[in-house]
Amino acid sequence: MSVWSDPRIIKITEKFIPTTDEVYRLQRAVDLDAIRFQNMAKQGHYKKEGGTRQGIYVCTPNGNLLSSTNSLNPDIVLDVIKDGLEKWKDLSPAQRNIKHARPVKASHRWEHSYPLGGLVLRSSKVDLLDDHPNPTKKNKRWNIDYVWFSNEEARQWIPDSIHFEQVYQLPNFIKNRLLQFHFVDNVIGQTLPFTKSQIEVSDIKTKIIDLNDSIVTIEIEGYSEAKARGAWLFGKDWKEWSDTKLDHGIETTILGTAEYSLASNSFNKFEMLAIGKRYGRTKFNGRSEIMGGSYVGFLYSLASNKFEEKIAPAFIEYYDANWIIKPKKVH
Amino acid sequence: MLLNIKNESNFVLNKKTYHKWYDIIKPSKEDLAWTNIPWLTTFEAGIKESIDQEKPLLLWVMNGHPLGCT
Repeated sequence: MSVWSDPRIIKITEKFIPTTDEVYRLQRAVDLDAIRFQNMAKQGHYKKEGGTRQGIYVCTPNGNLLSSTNSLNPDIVLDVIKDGLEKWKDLSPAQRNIKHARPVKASHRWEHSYPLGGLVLRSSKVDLLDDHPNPTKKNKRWNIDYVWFSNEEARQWIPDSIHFEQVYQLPNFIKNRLLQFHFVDNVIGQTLPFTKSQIEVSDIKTKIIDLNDSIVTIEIEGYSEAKARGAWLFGKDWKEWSDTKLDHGIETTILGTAEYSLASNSFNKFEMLAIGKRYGRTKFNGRSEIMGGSYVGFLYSLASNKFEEKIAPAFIEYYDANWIIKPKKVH
Repeated sequence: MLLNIKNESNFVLNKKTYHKWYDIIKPSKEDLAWTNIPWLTTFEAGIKESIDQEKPLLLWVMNGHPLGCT
């Protein structure tokens, strides 16, 4: 995220409506917002039909492209943004066509399934480069991830009958969700989830360490191993990956604490740390440099309920959860 | 990415090492500088705001939501 940490770029974004989105849906869906994006993006930096449309676009609300690029170089990105801004300034009011611009609505987004009142965790994921770690010597590339549990699912982090010092093995659906989708190596690029069958060890327990009125404090401790070898076993929709032979894995040690209110049926506090040892790569996770074992760190804590934290988890369509609203038509 | 790993046993996570790893993994203020930009989270919302404020859109799209898992 170094491009967007550059003070020159932060400053110039004041002249714009800065907007983000997930490109996979935008480049495939037949919703009006997606069609507007597709028509714009095909004039952009890729200059060809098909393929990914990742990148940075400056455009009018009607989807007229002003400039675009896909770069991690702040100087290049700044030049492209400036170029787009100059072109915007040169447009007459008629060309900007604001009066006739129409908002568009997506008929389906995974964010429509946001689990209000549930457990929403936000994670930071980083490479651990040194066995004598120093916070001032961190890899600049890191990642964020969100995990969703419905209110009913969140309650299942706590046993039904509650006793001090009770040890409780988490239900499989909780462990699978964490291990399939979230304790994965997407520190510097998107990766693939594991299937249930690829989870080889899955041992995550909680222990009640305090009971105070309606507040239950738990300790979380766990260990896991997941390995993917051979063909991509998930959906056929992901053609980019369906022909890939996989050989990657991760083992994690997990430790944390959390505080659950039986009165409000929600977590007041949640902090879970994990150290993972990874190997191998997937097509887009940026690991061609280091295929062998290296270490990654995960920190999960409660997300706020601000709109910018209501981001759907990657591969949520494969969550084993019936409260996730699926699109009527698969794009 | 340069690795400097001489002793793998230093990567142990337990109650003794918890705070050391927490300080490493927790994003710093510098890591979070990009959150100073008031990002909207959908193209749909960006279009609406662009119309309302009569400003151009700066759209950043990736495989995996840029503000979530990339």
